[in-house]
Amino acid sequence: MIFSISFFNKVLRLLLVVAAVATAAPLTAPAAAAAVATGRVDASPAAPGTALAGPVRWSFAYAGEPGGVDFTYTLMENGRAVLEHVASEPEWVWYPRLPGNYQLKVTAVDGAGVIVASGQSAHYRIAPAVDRDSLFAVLPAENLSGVKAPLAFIGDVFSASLAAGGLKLLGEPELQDFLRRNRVRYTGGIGSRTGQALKEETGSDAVFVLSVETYQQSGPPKISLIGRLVLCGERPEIAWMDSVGMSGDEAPGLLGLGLVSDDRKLMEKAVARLIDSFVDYLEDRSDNATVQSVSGADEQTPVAAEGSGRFLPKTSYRSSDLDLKRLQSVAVLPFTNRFARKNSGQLVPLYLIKQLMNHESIRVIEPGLVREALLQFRIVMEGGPSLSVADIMSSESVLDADLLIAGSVFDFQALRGEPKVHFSVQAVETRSREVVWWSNSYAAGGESVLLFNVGRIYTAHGLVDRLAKSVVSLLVE
Amino acid sequence: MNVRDMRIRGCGLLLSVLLLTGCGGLQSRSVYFNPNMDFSSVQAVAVMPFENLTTDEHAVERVRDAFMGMLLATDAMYVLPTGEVLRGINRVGLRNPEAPTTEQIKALSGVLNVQAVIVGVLREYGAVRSGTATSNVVSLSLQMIETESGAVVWSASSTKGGISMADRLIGGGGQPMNKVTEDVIDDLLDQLFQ
Repeated sequence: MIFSISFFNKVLRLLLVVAAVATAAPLTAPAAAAAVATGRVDASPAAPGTALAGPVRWSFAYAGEPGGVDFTYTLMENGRAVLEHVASEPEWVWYPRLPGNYQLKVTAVDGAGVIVASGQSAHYRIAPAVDRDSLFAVLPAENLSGVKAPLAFIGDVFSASLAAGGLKLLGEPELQDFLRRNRVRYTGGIGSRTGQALKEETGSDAVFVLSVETYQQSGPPKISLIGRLVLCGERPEIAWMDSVGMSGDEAPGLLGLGLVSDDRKLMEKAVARLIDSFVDYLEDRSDNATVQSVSGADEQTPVAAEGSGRFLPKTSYRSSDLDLKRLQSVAVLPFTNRFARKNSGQLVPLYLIKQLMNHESIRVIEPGLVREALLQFRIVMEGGPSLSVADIMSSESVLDADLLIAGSVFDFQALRGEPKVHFSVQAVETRSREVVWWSNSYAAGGESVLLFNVGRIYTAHGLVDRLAKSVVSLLVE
Repeated sequence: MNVRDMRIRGCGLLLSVLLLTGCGGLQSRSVYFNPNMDFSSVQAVAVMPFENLTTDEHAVERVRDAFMGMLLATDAMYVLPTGEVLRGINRVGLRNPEAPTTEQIKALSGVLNVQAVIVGVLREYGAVRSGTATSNVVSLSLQMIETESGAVVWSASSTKGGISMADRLIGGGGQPMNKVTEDVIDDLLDQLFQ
């Protein structure tokens, strides 16, 4: 009897303790000081949304006193935070740029230090900016290789592969007619006037811009292409971007059976890889928010894991004032070519743009718009951008850029001999007018190769792509 | 101590001297500081284009760019971007920006709002040969000039690279040029912040 009463008391005490703990939420501070208690996240318009189509308004409905509360919005994809925004309002306007399945988590902190975290919201699907019903124009390929290249053949193979994939393309006569009528000679990007005219006059939704980085016909054949899709309109936006680089001798295989000596075959292979990457984007087959790269087998390897920092900048500076949460748009200016290969000052920025495009938090300004602004204000940057250039580019009526990236290219050896790349990158924050990033990167294809060509990189594309990836990951992280 | 011991010791000493002088390749430095200068007052500097005394016309921009970045990376002072320095040079109308006069430096500080300018001379940049051995060598001297008075407040020089004893004995081409350049700049920065 004594035993049963004692046991009953213990159970009762335990129940009382559990009830007390359960009712004392939140635990981090006294309940009387709490301004927020519980919260719920809602999105408007309802899912699904479309990339680059317009804003999604997230609101955090919470019970408690308004005011004096800081909200941290963390956008997640596959459990990985891709974007973070801090505000004092229970509302956040998000401009989705990359397709994917997103979830939002909001953390609210009031003046008393009470922290309330919402659960993860329901999945919000962002569809690609274009679909199979869109009309695409393919601009004539731009030759940045510094040598004569079969541009017409590359363009034809590219267009034919897109058409074979079931995409609707603007006819060649219509495109040529448009280019002639609007006196468009530059095909390495589109400005606002061309973008708008292309949409209004031809009905095109987006345009493919193809740049030939390297072309070597034989000994061994080499080809590197950079492609991007730009949405037409008054403010052209890059929807997809990728690059591919191949050398005929990079995979000789057993008895040299894997060697490719026909440059046309190599070109077709390269174009096919680029198109595959675009189809992956179109069908949203990527596993995460980043655009999958086709540049090489080990392209997705984390930077630190590749050759113990072989591609990391040799020296770099990142200002403690650089806060990427504040930065929204980035303009990459043409680099100064310091006696490197012809057009290398235009090539390195394209690789940086490609890597920046993988980050949902950053809006990269289309290079055609940057070129248009430089021409409009007759800006010639012999030694890189001055602060007055930064002021112009940051103006809302010009580019509205928060960060300007520029630099110098000292070496870009892509053809005969061992590939070598050397460049430096400088970033100026337009608001503070200060240099917030500087890095110096260089690498050679045969560096750190000890046995059987393991780790050798056969193209300058492979080098610059990896170097740019390292720079961007350090800059953004 | 007999004659044999003395000979052995003498040979050992000679070998030690040879190893010490030969293993490091070229190592040279000399530094001057103005004792009255308060270096903490230098918040921002402009690095002027360096004078090139080498036969490689491309070298000077590489070295200047590397120096600017590495100086910025010390976080000790702000380094103006190259484009802004060029704007200042054009505004002041410097014909010879590698060797500005005191008046020109004062005028430049008014445009660029810097407390000091750094001028430099690239004395050597390239490969040196000795017998069958080849190696890279970089030699750079720098001066920091205070913009208010136009006085030289710091001057230093450094030479790195060259053919070491190991290069002579084992062979090999020495360090890559970029690495030697970084070594020289590291040494100069050590001298600036010592």
